[in-house]
Amino acid sequence: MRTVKWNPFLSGVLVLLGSALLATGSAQADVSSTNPAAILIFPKLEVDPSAGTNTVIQITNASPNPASVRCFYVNANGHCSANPEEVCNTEFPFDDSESGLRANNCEGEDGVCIPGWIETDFAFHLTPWQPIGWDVRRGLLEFPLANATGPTGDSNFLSSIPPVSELPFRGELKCVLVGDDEQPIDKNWLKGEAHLVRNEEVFDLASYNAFGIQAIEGANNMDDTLVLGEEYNSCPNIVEIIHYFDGAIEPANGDDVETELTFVPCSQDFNLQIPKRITVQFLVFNEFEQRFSTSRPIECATTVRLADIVPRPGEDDDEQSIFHVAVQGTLTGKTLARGVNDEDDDAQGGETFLVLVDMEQGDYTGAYVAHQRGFRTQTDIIQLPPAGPR
Amino acid sequence: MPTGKWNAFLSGLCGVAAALGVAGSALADVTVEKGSSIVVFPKVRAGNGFDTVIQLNNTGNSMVHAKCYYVNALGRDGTVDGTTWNEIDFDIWLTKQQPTHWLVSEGRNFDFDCEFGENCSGFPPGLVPPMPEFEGELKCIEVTESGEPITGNHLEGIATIKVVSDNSDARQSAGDFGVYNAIGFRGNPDAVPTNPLQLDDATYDACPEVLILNHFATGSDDPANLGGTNETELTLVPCSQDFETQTPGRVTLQFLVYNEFEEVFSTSTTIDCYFNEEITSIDSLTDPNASIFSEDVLGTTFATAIITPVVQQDGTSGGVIGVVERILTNGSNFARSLNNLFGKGSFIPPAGPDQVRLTEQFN
Repeated sequence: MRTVKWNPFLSGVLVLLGSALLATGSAQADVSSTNPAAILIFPKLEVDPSAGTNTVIQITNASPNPASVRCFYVNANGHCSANPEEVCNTEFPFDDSESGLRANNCEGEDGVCIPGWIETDFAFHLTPWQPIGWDVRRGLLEFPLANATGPTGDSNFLSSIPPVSELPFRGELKCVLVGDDEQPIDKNWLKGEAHLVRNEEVFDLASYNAFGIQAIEGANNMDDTLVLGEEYNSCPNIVEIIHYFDGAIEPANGDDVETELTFVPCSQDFNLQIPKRITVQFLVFNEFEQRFSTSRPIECATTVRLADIVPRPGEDDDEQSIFHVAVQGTLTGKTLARGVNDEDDDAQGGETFLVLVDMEQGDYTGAYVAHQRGFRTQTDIIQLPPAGPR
Repeated sequence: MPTGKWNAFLSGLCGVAAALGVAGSALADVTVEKGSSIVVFPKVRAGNGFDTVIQLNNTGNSMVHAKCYYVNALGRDGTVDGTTWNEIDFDIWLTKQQPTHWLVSEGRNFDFDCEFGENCSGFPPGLVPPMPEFEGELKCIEVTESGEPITGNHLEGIATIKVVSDNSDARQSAGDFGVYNAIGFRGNPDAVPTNPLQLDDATYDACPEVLILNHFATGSDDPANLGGTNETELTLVPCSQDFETQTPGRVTLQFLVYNEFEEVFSTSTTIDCYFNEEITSIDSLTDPNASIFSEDVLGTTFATAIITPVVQQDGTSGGVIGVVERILTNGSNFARSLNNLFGKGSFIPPAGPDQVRLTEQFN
């Protein structure tokens, strides 16, 4: 009988390599808001001159190397079907006295509110360690080193950031680290923050760190299809939101509390401009460890009031919502949110998302990123349009 | 000469063990999004026109115990003088998946008369002491029922710092607030932590090698064009702490500040226990406009500061963590917001990793 003789040393090496590869392959867990990354996601931008709001973006090249960046504004405004110049929002009830960012003001001759997602992209180049910033309303048409070189001999050649395409504006910004040829690269050099400023009834500021998705070095094939979970870190399996229940009276100053959640799907097709629809399941816990659940769909970048997740938009039936203190009985709680899709979509993955929490206490607001649990084995895909010649 | 004969199975087993060892020690950077075994709220304020709501959450399906330490940096005169600190510790426990909260100035106790929807409603997490005059840090460490540290990674939290009274000298508008996520150190589930806790990337996450602060130049106009002048308050706390002997951590930090023209400036400072200052006071106590963090010196609105711990000649050093508060001033109106700081890498000083020494249990 023929026997196979194992080479002991080789078997050890093979097992070591195999195990190490497995470990590497599964080490794709984190989307982080405090580490430099290859993809930055700013879930919530708002500009509304009539409401005195604007957003300032900061992006920094956190490396000693020059960095090129491609960015995508996603305009999440809805428009009235019979009056496309009227901006509306399907997440809010009809109220023609409110701005389009916080009301669905299509009725009668205006038709109905049609959700829309329009992408505008732009590119710029950062010198080593360079910080830049711009206000979303005006953009940044002239960069600091547009006509000169910095100490390392690099410049912001051919860089320009346009203003947003319409006012009022609400939406999202995604930025991807690319090489000089505008193809994605597997480095983690970018960090960013957003500041929502409002000067209307009160002077108010809410800031948050951009979500950063890190590239896995050596795993990126540098094409226009960004595969989260293979070339980049995965999005979380479950998003965990610590929050006040709507209608709670916060204990420090006695102000009413309301919370808005902004959902951003991790999968996005900027090439065909197809918005992603995800059904989100919610598990809600109060401070008595009591659990409630519900679900609802989200599409593209969606901002929704907590008490409007169920039963419906508007304040009339807030006190019947499982996200309201009148139902829960405790001031604070937490919500676990998980995306599901039908079977066809499941085969492709793409049901993950990230959440920014925007809390309103009295007249003031504050923002923070939601916590995360685990990661999906299925991939998410961000499809970029082909880069144009520069 | 004797020769060693390799056993195929054993060598394979060694390979697996080595690989697992690599994976087991592959703790990464501190996190603000994941359940952790140590959570740190670097900036907590109560009194002087502020109050803070702490929200803490058990991510697990079993009861979780935690030992929490308030580190009060206020001196006897009610200000942070850099020389005084004291700690008060307390125990909390959270049932499966339980969120809880408390107001720092009032603490939390069990109220038999508590009614539906009131501040006291919910399972009490234990007796949280009131801290009516407080400025400093809160640190909670996951422990067993008997108080031994464990690496369960079940804690996460947020802090909301609220302005409760107007004070234009202190740049406070009542009702304004900022919110940030607690900084989490994840524990290695395979490790058995002992006191003092080792922040060495093998038992718990190490502190960041570098912190990155994106900021607006002090004195610059807000680019949102809605009025407002920028200031930045930086809060840093050392990762090493000895709660048993009440010895504060001490770290020297170097700051490299880049403006939008890629020009670089530098300064350094030493922090004891707790640092919370407007950034121009790092290098210029008397004239903010002369600071390298000011618009007058930087010449641009946006800047980034790279903050690195300095290693002493004997190899000692230590990491720091923190948060940043942006303050916009528009006449007599003030707007505040809080952000977590960015970090990169793991910092293990040559003389040994950062340690947190807990108070010993005795009875």
